[in-house]
Amino acid sequence: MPNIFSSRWVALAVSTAMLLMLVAACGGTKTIEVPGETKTIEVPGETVVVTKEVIKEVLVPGETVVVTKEVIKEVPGETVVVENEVVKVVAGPERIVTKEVAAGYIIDPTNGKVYTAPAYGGTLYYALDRVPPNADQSVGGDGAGYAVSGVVEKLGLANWGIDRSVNALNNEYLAESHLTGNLAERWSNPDPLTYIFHIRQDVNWHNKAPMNGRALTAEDVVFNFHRYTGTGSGFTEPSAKSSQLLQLKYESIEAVGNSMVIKLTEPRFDALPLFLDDASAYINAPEVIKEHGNVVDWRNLVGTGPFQLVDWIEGDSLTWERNVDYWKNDEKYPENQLPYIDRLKALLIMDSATYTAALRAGKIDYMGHNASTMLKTVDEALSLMKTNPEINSYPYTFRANNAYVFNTTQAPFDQVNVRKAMQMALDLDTINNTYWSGFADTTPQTVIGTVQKGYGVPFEDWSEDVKAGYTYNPAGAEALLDTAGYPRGSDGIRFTTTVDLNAADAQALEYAVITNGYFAEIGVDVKIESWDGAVHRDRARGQLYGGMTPFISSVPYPPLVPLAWQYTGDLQNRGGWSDATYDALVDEARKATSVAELQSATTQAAMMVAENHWYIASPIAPWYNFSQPWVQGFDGDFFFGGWQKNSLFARLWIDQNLKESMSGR
Amino acid sequence: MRAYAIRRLLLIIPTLFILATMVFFSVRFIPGDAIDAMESRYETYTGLDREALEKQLGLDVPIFVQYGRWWRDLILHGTLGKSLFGQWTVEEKILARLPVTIELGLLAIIISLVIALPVGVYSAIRQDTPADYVGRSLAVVGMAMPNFWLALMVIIYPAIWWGWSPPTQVIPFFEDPLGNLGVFIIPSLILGTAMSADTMRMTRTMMLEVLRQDYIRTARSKGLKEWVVITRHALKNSLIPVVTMVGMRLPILIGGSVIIENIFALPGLGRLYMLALQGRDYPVVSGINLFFAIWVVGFNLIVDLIYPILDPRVRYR
Repeated sequence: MPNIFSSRWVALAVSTAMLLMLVAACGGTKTIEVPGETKTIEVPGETVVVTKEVIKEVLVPGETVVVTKEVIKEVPGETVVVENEVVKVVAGPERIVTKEVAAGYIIDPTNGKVYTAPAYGGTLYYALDRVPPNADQSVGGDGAGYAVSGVVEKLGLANWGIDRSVNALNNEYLAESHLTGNLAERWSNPDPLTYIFHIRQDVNWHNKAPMNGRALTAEDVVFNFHRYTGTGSGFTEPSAKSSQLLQLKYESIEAVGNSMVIKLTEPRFDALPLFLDDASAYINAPEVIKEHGNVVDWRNLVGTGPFQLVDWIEGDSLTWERNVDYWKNDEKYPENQLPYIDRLKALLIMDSATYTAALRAGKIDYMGHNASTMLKTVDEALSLMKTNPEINSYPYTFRANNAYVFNTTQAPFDQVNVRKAMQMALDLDTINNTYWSGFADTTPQTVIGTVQKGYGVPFEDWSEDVKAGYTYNPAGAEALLDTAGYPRGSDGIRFTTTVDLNAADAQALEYAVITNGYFAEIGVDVKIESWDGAVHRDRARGQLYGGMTPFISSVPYPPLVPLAWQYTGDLQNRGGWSDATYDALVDEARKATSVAELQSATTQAAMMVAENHWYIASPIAPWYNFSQPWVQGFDGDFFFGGWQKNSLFARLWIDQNLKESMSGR
Repeated sequence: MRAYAIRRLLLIIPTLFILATMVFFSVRFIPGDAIDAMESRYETYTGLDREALEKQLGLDVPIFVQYGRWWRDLILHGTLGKSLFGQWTVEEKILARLPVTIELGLLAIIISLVIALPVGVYSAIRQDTPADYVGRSLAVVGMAMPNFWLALMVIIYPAIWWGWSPPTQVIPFFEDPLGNLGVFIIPSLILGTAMSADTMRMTRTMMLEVLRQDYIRTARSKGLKEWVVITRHALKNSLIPVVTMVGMRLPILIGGSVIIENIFALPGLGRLYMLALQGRDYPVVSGINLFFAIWVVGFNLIVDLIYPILDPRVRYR
């Protein structure tokens, strides 16, 4: 006799479970956090939590006024005022700020935020979405920075103590004055061809063979610069990296006492930041390179930085441990030796759903720019903020990631009017309001972002004629295409072209689907061609793509970097541009000997790119960093210079009590 | 039997040679090379020094020279070469990842058998009853539901509802057996559940066929208890095609678990292969393919050699 009832129960249970999953997937509403607004956070447990920030301001023009700022923290059942900030505004520019915080808390001098007092210990976890190629940037390129930053150091790095209203350090913009000495204590530039870097005398290599904690010397630094540039110490060829350092013409690099003296044969106005912070300019242990030829093997990596790389499990994780003898103290809290955490661990997680889940579950502490795990779509970010309001979110605008560059070596994009029409076909405001929920910046910028003040030209300074080319005007676009010799055919199509995409970039695909709709409106049929990363790169490099390929614009990088992307024959010249006038302007910028000369040449070159529509501008969409509430000292600021990513984690600390109460770990 | 085994082993050599050669050349003919992949993956804004890097990575010589070097290193030095990324040799990478893939695969197969065999047998002996319908329906659901979708649901929703996500780091078995099981159980369940569907259907079909055989009727008429008939006489004979199917599946699992390994951040061979292919890490791609080939051919041989044990009618000469 079959057990009929049992079978029915099984069927019923399965059906019920599926129904419940369906209902649960649809249900649940919580408040949506809007970035930038004061937010209320409810965190389970007993730990003091910031719940709201009240700012009271009394402004009396021309008189001394008092501004009181209270940051109120609540323990369930009681309210504790932990900060009383009295701001005395004296008539005139001077502003005296006096602040008090309760015991156990600290005010960040760079932004006025309150954190629990710095504490040592603990492990900070983050997800890394790509495997570093190896441990030597000279061999593996920039990506090696994921593994080696924080272990080896450069002559300079971004000033972590900088007032965040001057530079929020939340994109990759870094003016020369925002850099500070690291292994170089100070420097001088007695003439346009000579740079003298005084190397710090209190820096020791890690206590690991073959360096065994010996002092860093100027010879060590010179050895590395010889290696990068192929100008001495037995190096006759530059190391395998197209470093910007190689764009300089060297007469000599030598150690003189405690200093490194670099002599150039041609002046270069932006040489100093390159010496201090070029992406490849890490100072590696000479003994290691002499013995092994390179530092490809992480086990040979010895540095002077706050961390030592102690484990790299192939395909799984990288682990760094605190260098207990690190020479540097916190730029914000000079009484504290860095780093705060005992251990830093990067888990290699490639799938965004997986690392987002790990963040939600408290298994990682940071997700963002320095690990290539920032969320790039507003929907994803809002979803995370909605389901996990306790997690801190930090939106930032970085660059226009959805621009398209035209293949100008062939028709139809060899005509400026066709390129201009493609730009005018796009209603960037509507795209922003629908796709990015209004969070993106749609104001067109030059290829040099306007954050580079004096180099990137703000839209309001563009001529009316150029502005018109960046204004949504489908009728005008159609007229341009008519005059360019591309009338609508009987099927309504003027011409068919393609946009190449990297198949791994889902966001780019979404954007392409949207823009293709706009292009169709003016009779341009754009087909999407998806390729894997390497093929996509190969096609872009050789101008093998049909019509358009993604491009980044409005970048915060040093001005000469994006200008090179349009320079004849440059490795990154994806559009195949070749324009003698433009090249001459870039050459002029490279040879500039003053700020005025550099600004003049770069702004002209940047405007030339805009006027010629060598690419289609796109909105600058926000990206998002996230951190757990127990990660202290972090306010969405992450940039330390070229690939100095792990330097951030040396300056953060963990509120262990809060972590235990919230995550149980 | 021995002569058969030797013959099969000798046949493996040309098979592997042809396959290794095909893979070596085909992967190098894909547009985009390792340097393009590096630029694409790490977003270097100044570009890489192609010429110097090609020299550094040994890609500056003609492809036939690379091919010759590959065989030379394999035959004379017993190495599959060095990965273009990182400091590891190909065999180091494979050996580091192999335990993860094998454990995942074995657990998935065990789970699939634990689900499929009882349900398949029960479904067969209770043919056309509600229990049979439920079993078959579940099998259809299992086959229809993509395992990557199920994996994503398991990753996303528990994290939202309960702040829980599967472990993201492999714990060695001998260090912490329970912790290790905690890492593998969910991905194995997902893989195993999907696999159990067709195994269950195969078991059911074969059982139904065997149960209609004369010798089963004879066994019953001898007065044997039903469970003895089922387990001793019917099940053993119905399992031959099931064993074949499972045997073929283990090697396929290595490649087939790519997505599961990626979603659950398991450093297995599938994920290594995917990354190597994306990164145009030619030595690793060639090495893994050779390894896969040996694995598949080896398993086929083992399955063939097991047949005579399961079915005395099978004899090799």
